[in-house]
Amino acid sequence: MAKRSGTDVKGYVTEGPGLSVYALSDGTVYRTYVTTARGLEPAMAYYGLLDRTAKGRDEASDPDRPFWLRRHDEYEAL
Amino acid sequence: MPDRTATEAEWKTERDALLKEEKELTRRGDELAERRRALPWVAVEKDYEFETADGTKTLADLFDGRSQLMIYHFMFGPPYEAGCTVCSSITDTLAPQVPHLKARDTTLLLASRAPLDRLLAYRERMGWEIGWVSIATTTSIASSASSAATMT
Repeated sequence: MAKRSGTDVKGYVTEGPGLSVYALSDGTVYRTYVTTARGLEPAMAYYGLLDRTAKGRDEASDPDRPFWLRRHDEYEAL
Repeated sequence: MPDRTATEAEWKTERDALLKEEKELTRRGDELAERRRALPWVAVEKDYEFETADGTKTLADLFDGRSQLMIYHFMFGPPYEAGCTVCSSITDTLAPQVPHLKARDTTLLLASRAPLDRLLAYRERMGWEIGWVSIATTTSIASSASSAATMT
């Protein structure tokens, strides 16, 4: 994972994914919701679709699991 | 090879039973969404600054005339040469939602800590039409997101 982003593990883990939601009311910004980890799955459309196939996410069969994901321009002749 | 096969009639019986459970989950999801919306709001005290394609902006500026703002913290830190692969797959889902969310008074943006020029070059490569701001000048807003990690 780190290598695919051109950094090492130490550099990679300086970041973490997250979805933050804010509301603006009378000039004040409020945080109304935050999530991360599997709370981000609504933003991973492929998982919901694969969950409706016979093989599902099929991550257990992949030695590189669960990191089968590639950038959309990096999949080779699938 | 299939694990199990069935006639059309047998299949329909099992599918109808599963549909009942799917509907239960849908309704449970609606209830949970209502409780999510009922969470209290927390005023943001810190003055964040963001580098954007249109200059330096505050968090309030990022709303861009709307009353709701959603920020995806995309893993692209200063040591990264390219964005995280999983975040990239997530952005493939997020970016096309921007116009639909705008129609519901919501601005959706990406935020990362790498310098803005590197973010925008990567956005060009990936072909995404979504705003991306750099939070290189401030403490990461992801810290609050990371603290929620154990909740999900």
